[in-house]
Amino acid sequence: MSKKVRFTLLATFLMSVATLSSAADRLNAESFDLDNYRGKVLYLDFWASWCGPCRASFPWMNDLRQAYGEDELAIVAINVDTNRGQAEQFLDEHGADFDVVFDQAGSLPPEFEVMGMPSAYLYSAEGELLASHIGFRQSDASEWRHTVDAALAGGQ
Amino acid sequence: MKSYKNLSLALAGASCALMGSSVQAATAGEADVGDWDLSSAVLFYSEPDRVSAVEPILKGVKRIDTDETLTLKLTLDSLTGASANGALPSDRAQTFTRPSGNGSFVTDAGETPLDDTFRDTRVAFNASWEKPLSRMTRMTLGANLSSEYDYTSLSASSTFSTDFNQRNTTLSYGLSLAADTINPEGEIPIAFSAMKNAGDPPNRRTDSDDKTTVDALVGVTQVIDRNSLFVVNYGLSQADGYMTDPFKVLSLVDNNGRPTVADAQTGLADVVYENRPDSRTKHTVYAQYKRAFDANSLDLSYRFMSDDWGVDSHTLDVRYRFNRSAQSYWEPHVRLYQQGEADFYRAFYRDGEQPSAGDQTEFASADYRLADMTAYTLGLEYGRSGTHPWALAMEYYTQSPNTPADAFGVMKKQDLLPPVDAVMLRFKYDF
Amino acid sequence: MKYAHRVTAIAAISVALSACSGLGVQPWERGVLARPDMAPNSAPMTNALDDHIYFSKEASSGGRSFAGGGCGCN
Repeated sequence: MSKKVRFTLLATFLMSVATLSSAADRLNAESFDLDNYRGKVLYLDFWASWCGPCRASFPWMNDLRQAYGEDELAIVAINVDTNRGQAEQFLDEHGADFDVVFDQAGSLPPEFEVMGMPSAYLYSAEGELLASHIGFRQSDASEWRHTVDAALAGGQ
Repeated sequence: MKSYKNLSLALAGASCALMGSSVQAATAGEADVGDWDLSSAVLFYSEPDRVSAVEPILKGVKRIDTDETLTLKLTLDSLTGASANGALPSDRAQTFTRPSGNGSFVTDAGETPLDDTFRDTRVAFNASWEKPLSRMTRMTLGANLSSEYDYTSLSASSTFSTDFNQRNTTLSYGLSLAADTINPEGEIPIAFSAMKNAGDPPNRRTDSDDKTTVDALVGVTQVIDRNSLFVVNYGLSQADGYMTDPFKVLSLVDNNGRPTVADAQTGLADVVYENRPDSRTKHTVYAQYKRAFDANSLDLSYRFMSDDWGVDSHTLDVRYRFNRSAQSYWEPHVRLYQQGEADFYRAFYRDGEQPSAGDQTEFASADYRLADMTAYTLGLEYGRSGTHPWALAMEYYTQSPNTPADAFGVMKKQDLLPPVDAVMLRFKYDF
Repeated sequence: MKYAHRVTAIAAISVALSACSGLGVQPWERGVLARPDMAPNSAPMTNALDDHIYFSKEASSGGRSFAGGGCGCN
C-alpha cells in the first residue's frame, strides 16, 4: 500500500470519526479555561462572522482537525460576534468540526492581547505559547500549517 | 512566559499581514480567495429635450488573497442629444453652423440655442491592483484608459494607506497623473474667432491639443466608536493644457441687448468661440461621516472646492439606508450643490468689445456650467441582497443657473439660463 | 488666498490625526463597522456613475478619491 493510499484511508477514517462522534463542542466564554487543554497541543483561534479572512481560515482549520486526533490536538475557535445568531449562521454555512466558544461580551480577547481578526495562538501540551499569528492569508496558509505540524511532531 | 508571549506577538506583528480588521473590512458577499466577483451597473440619464445618456459598467474583482485584489472595469458611455452652446436666446430665430462645419441648425425665437449634434461614445478601461506592503501599509496601483471619438485620456495612479492606533486611524496618500489628447470634430476653433456659415472655410486650427493633470490626495479615516467613523481628504489638482470647450460660443449683442446677426441672408448668429485659461489649480476638502443606527446607517458628506478660475463650490450629500431586513433596504438620497461663477464667465459680449480672434491672453466662456448655479438631487434606491444582490435607483436632478447680473435690454425678456432637469435611473446587479 | 487654503487643510489634517488617538475601538469590536453599508465608499459603482454625471454638468469634481480617466465632456 502506498503512503498516499494509506494517508487517504486514514483521513477518511478520521473524518468519519469526527462526524460520528461530533466532538465539536459549543461553549460559553465563562466555561473556557486554557488549563482544560493541558496535555495536548492547543490551537486557539479568535474569529468573527464579519471578518473576511476568518472565512478563508475555516476550511484550513477543518483540514487541521481532520489531520490530527482529538487526543493530540485541540482546536478551539473563540467567536467575538456580539450577535450570536450571526455567528451560528456563519457556522451553518462554513462548518466547524472543532470547538467553538461564544464570547459575545468580548471578555477573552483582551486577556490574549488580540491585535487583529483573526488571531491564532499555538500552545504546547505544557501550556507554553509556541507561536501566534495575526490575520489569515491563503499564501501563508501552508507555512502556518508547517508551524502547527512541527509543534505536534515535537510534542511526541 | 509573559514576556515570551509579548515577544512572539511582536514578531508575529512584524512578519505577518493582518487583515479583516481594517475599516474596509471584508463583506459577507465577497468571493472566496482565487475567485472572481462580477458585478454590473447601468445608468440611464435623460434631460427632456436635451441630452440623454446610457452608461453601462462591467466590473470584475479577482480575489488574489484575503488582502489582495485585482479589479478590472469596463465602462461604456453613450451620449446623444442637444446641449447648450453658450449663445443667448433671442427674440428672433438664429442660425448656427454645426461643429463639423457641414450643415447648420436654426434655433427658434425665445429658445435656448442647443447644439443638436452632440453625440459621443466613450469606452473606458480601468485596472487596479491592491496589495499589502507590510502589516500596516497597503498599496493600490491603478491605470485608466478612456477613449472617445475626439478625446483620449491615459492615467496612472498610486495610493498608499497606512494604519495607526490599532487600525483606528488610516492615513492615505496618493498621486495620479493623466495625459489627455483632444482632436475635436471640425478641428479646434481659434479663440474669439467668429462662427462662419456652413461650407465656408472655418476659423479652425488643424492640430490636436493636449492636457496633463497631476492630482495629489491626502486623507485620514478615523474610527470614532463601534458605530461611527469619519473621513477627511485634501486634494490638490493641477491641470495644464487645453481646457476650452471647442463647441462653446459667446453671443455678441447690440446696444438694445439683442444678439446680433453675422449674415442677414442665412440668419447666422454673430458669435465667437470661447477661450479658457490653459492652467487650473484646484483645492478640494472632502469630509464624510458615517454612522450606524442599529440596522440602519447614515452617510453624510460635504465637499468644498476652490480653484484659481475663481470657482468656489459646496456639495452636501446625505444618504440614509433603512435596512428593513437582512434581505432588503431603502435608501433615500439628497444632494445639494452650489457654485460661484468662474472669473472669466460672461453671458455675452457687447459687439465690438470682444477680444480679437486668436487672442490667447483673454479668457471668456458663456458655458452655464461655469456660472453661478445651485443644483439639487433627490433620489431613492431599493436594493435586495442574496446570492445575486441588485438595486434600483431613481433620481431627479435639477440645475438652476442664476440669471447673469449684467443682462440688459431685450435679453431681459428672455429666459437666459433656464433650469436644466434630468431624471436618472440606475440599476446594479451582482453576478 | 491659495496659501491660506493649504494651511487650513494641513491644520485640519494635523488636528484630525492628533485628536484621533483617543478615539477608536478594539479589533474585535468592528462588527458594525465591517458591514458593507458602513464602508466609506460603500457604493463604488454608484459613486463612479454619479461622479461622471456631475463632472460633466458642474464646474467641480473629485474630492472623494481620484477622478480617474478624463472625459471630453467638460
